[in-house]
Amino acid sequence: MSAEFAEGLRLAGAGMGLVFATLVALMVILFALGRFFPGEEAEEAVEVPDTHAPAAQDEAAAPVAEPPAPIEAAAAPATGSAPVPQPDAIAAPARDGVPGSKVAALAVAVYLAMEQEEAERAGASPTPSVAAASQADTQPSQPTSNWGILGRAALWQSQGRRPSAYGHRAHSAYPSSRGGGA
Amino acid sequence: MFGETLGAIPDLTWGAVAMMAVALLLVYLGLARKYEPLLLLPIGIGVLLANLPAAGIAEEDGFLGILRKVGLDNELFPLLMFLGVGALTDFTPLLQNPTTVLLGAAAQFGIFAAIMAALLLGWDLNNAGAIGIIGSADGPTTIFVSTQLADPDLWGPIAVAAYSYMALVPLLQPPIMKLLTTRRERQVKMPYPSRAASYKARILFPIIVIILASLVAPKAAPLVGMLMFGNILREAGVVERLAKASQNELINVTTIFLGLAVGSTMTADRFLEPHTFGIFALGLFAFAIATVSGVLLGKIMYLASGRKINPLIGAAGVSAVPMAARVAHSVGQESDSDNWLIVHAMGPNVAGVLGSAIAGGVVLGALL
Repeated sequence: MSAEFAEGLRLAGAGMGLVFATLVALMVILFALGRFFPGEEAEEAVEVPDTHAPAAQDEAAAPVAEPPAPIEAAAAPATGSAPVPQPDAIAAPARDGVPGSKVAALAVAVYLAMEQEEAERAGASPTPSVAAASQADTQPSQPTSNWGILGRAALWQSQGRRPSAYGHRAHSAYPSSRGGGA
Repeated sequence: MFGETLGAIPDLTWGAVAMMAVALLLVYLGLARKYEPLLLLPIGIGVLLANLPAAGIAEEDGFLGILRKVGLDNELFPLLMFLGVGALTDFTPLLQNPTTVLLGAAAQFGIFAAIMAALLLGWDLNNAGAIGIIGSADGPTTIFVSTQLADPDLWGPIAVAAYSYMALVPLLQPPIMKLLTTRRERQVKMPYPSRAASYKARILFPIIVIILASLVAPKAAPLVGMLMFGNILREAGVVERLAKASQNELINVTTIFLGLAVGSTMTADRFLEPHTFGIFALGLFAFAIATVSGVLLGKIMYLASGRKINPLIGAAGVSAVPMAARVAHSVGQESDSDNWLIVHAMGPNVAGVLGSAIAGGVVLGALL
């Protein structure tokens, strides 16, 4: 074993040791910061009082507290990336009483639709595997998740809903003339 | 007289023609394949300009030579880049889940494994250190370290190898990740953090990191200092103009200059050498080992946590931000389309940035 190789071995051992020691110290500091300066609890999932999309409603009642952040993380330090909705803005309930989770689902659905449109506009991607990776990343093919179902339902309601036929209003804005009320 | 009418054509060499082809390949990879176009396009054009016959653009008093002198020889450009990277990086995932910081440390093993491999292949220790740092998967760190340790002939190939492999992370990592994990492990859904990070914690964290890193690895202090200064600008909330300037104008201008300056080091007499292939091979090895070590520690943490940590996020410990985190997420979604790993993968990903800067400082401290 040459002297230089032995020196390299020492460097590797000491180097990994120092990197680990530093990051372990950092982990301890992070725990301490979390303990002494705790952040606010994340908002609980808000149930969607929605009568138009029963399937989405059932799904949405359970664990909606999860994933707004993928959007932010995906866009974070990639220089030149397009502006996207921020998770803080998504998670907060809207002022006019629209549930925050519904707003978030709508934002996610719009974002995914935009990405899909962008991908289609870009045409055939040069490397199939790269394209597949990025598509799988951004666009769950079936709306199997709560977010997907809720998002699609919200988007459908707000953007894709056709006007009701004349005389077939789903909900009347006024109380019934017989006094039954809405 | 006749020679003058032909312009620079008599000065055209086969080496220059080959380097122009390399330049066009880099431009093609950036434009058509979208492989790190922000860097590969300026580097490609820098290579093209540097190899134009008789133009002298890359010589000491040519404009690329001046750029190299003011920004690359003294490591200014990588540091300015790191300021922008810090302003773009959100350390909240790390603050919310501190244990994932260990994964950022494990992935740095690729650096040291590549150093050993380079020594075995006959490189001297300083050049081996510079080549090994490709495994950090961090462009500014790679350039910062290599410009201090390596021979100038190697600066270009090392930078191009680093950025090329960073761009190829979606192709390089998934096979390794799938090979080392079972489907059941890939399907693990991690609990979403219940608390947000407080403002005080987000401000104190970068300050503490600056002090800690400079105590452990003083040579890393410039890198970590600029990274964390950028992050303070982002988190402070009262200097939005400075934060936005760092996130946009500063990093964009520096990217252009850095790319051109790095490209200008790749002249035919320096680049068309057998050692270039060795650097690319060792860079690939470093990336693979970094991914393997990250995933293996992820598996250990999976077992130690009672199967609550998805080992895929270990691969995000290589600091190609945010690409490596996206790859961990997409590989996880292949096993379960309802699994949103990216939030959890961003923790090790940004820890990898810190880990690679510290590892770079350790290597510099030992070898300078």
